[in-house]
Amino acid sequence: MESCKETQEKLLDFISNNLPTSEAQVLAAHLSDCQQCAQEKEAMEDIWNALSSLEEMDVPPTLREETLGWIYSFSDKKGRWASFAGRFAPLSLGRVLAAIIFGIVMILLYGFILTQKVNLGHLTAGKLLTIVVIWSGLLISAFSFLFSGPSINRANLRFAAAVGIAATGVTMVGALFCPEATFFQMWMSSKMGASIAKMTGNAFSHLVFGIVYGFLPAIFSATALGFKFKGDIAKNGLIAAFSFVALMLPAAYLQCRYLSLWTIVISFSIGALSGAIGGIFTGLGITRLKVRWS
Amino acid sequence: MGAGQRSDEELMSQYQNGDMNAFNLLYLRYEKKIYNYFLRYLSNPERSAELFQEAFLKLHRYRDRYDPKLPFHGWIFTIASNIAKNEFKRIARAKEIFDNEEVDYEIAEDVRVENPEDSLERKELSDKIKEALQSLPESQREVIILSKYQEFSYAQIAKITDSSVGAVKQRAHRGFANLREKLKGWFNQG
Repeated sequence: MESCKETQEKLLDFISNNLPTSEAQVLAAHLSDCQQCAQEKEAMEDIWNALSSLEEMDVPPTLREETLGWIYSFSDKKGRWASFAGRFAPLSLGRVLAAIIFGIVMILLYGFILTQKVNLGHLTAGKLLTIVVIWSGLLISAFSFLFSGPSINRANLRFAAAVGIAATGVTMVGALFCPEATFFQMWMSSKMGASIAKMTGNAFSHLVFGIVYGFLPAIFSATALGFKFKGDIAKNGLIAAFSFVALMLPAAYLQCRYLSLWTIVISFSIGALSGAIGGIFTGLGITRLKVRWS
Repeated sequence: MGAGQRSDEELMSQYQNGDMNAFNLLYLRYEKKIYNYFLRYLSNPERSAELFQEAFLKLHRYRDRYDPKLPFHGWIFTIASNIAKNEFKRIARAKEIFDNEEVDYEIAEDVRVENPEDSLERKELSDKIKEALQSLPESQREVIILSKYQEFSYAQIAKITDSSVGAVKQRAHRGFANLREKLKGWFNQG
């Protein structure tokens, strides 16, 4: 049996439904036996219930119209595109045009650098055209995502696109200043790359190169995404890695003329995937530590 | 399944995927709650309207950060609570006298048809409670508002206000004791 003092200390929790059922039952039993506590409860309940006399006000229609109007103007200018287009809410015609222009300018610039600086003699005109078309499409898509920032199931495509475009930019600068020494060639002429090639053959060395090359950007991007989107680090990390590989592959294929297409695809994909997985675990670990510290 | 049966969390998840109809339904479910939260907390209808808009704009802007596994109710009130906190900080910085401006709770009463006597009595009580609520320190007022009007538990309020359950409970008890003191005459508390 609880004392009157204990009971009265819990009365507010009781009337505001904050007592666990078992405690509430004990308290109710006390109230049925103790008139003084029952009166105190009624007095408190009078006030608690009286607070309801502050009625809920309706939202003024003008405020509602203005609020919804703002949100709609921020969210889309499409209306009729319905839910599919809703995923790409801010993707307006202007942004698409800008993405096309940026994509084409970047590909032309890169193409110019490559034709001036890098020996592309190993490619037929048809192959070159195919690569340029695919690459342009990827770049334009990436710029569209960068400008509009769509998200699908909480995966942030803006960040993934930025990773891919940055990777393209880095290889562009590389081709401009070191046309005859791609990262791959540097790797193969380095002590480690050469010794791996010597021990296991070129194929394995290429694979290690791809892993090292893809790992670092993927681990950084997945970790950074982990900070920004705590719950979706895995999804965001993998998409960023995919974007990185997709945009890097054409450049790698054009520049690394000694390698076969499949060597490049496999090594870069494994590199980016393992980097993304590493980044996901790093990001999750850091997020967990942050939560613990906070 | 009809649209009306969808949970807040389901609607929010659909909204994250671009379904603006889901947003409309969520908005209609919460507009009154959020609006009244600011009205009761701030005692300033104009600022309340602005902060109400800010809350929904933030909901829209940060919709991707919401995890549908967590209760939406708590999430949107966390947004509102943070906005209110920032408002109090802004006021403190500007050294404005916060309770100079009266809450115009009569806005909606204008359109209601009521018995004049009931209306007068209700208005008097309403004014008294409004005054008593406004006299509470901000932290106590917020806990009382969230507990009484939104029916959040102490644990939920602790999450929303980023404090401990013990602190919330203490604020609720102190706030209620203060309210009781203020309303003593009205209720003939013995």
